[in-house]
Amino acid sequence: MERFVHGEESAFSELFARHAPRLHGALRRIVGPAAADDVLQSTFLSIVRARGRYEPGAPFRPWLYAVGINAARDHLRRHRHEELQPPEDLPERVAEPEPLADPGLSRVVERALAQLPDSQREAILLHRFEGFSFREIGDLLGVSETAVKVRAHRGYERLRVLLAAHRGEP
Amino acid sequence: MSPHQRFVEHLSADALDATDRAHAAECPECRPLLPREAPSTAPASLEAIHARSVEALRSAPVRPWRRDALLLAGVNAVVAVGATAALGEARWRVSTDARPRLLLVGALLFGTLTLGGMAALAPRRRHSLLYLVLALLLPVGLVFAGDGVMSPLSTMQALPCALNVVVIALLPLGAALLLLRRMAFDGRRAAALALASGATGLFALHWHCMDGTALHLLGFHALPWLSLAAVAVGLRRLLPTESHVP
Repeated sequence: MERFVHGEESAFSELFARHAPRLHGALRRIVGPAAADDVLQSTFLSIVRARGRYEPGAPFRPWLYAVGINAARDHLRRHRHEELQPPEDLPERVAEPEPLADPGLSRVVERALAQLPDSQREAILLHRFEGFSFREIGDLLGVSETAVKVRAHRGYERLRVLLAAHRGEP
Repeated sequence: MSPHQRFVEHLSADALDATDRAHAAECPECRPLLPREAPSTAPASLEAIHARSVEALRSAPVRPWRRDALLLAGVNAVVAVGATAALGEARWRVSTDARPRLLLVGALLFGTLTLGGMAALAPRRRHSLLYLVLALLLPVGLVFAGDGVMSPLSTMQALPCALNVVVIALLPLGAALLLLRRMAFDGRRAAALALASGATGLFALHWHCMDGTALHLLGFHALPWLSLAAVAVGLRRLLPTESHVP
């Protein structure tokens, strides 16, 4: 990271190769597949332009994810109204989706996740899929560990109810 | 507590045990919630994103945040001292008895307007919180420095004080907003930087204004300062963000 801050391209490429694919996956779950590329681009341009704000010695991955979450929130704030489709445009029946690259990641869970409030979804995604501890999530979201635990707990509870309701569907 | 609730409780506390895992293995509702790392995906678009980022790396020199903070402190100091010289230091000349208090609060004001950039731009957010707490005590200092003597000016004539707080702060506030756009929106940081910029006007009036009553100092000095900061935070929220770095 220190070498990247000083403008070394090979160091940046190394960081990119190590973190970009997984971050892309996380962003895809937050903003959707169509916007994930744009938000990832915005994330990496941000860290390149503002690398002078990196605190030497701080772990890079939580910092990168904090930037990614900020970029995703900004995207959602600017595009939320555009993404809401009028009811008449919605298909009556959702076509069976293509299988995901991750066979363990159920489409049903993804759909249920999409119904959670942003704050709960972020907490669960970072905890469940990205393996961050609650303390790390608190640091990178700028909230207390307790607040993250509350969000995650409410989110998991809601998710379970949504999954149960889905199972009850004919 | 049902096994489902127990599972969710423990999942949310990073405390899953063998019983929870055994339950999840049997329960179709809880099984999908088990922590599981998603494998990396590497879409072709990553190549293009990497190329554009490298291009930006070549053209964007590193900007240490301390340099920006010093720049802002310099702008604020020059504006505050310049405005003081322009308005004149009538209060300082007249209030010979109150000079120690004036000097003390003047030093606090100078600290507020120069250190705000450092507190707001520092990567650690707790600096901005500490600064905000201290800065919000400043109105108490203003009243402390006041001699309680009412100026012969009427309320209407005191309005220029409020106007001065706003007008003097315009240039520092513009610079602060430019810097704030280079990081993700954070109300706390934005407020700290706006209060530092607004303190330039407070500083100039501190040496100039002849009205030492608490009502005047709070209503026509402190209130416009706080209102300006609130407006600046709202303005920053509306502005597009150049970089999402915290």
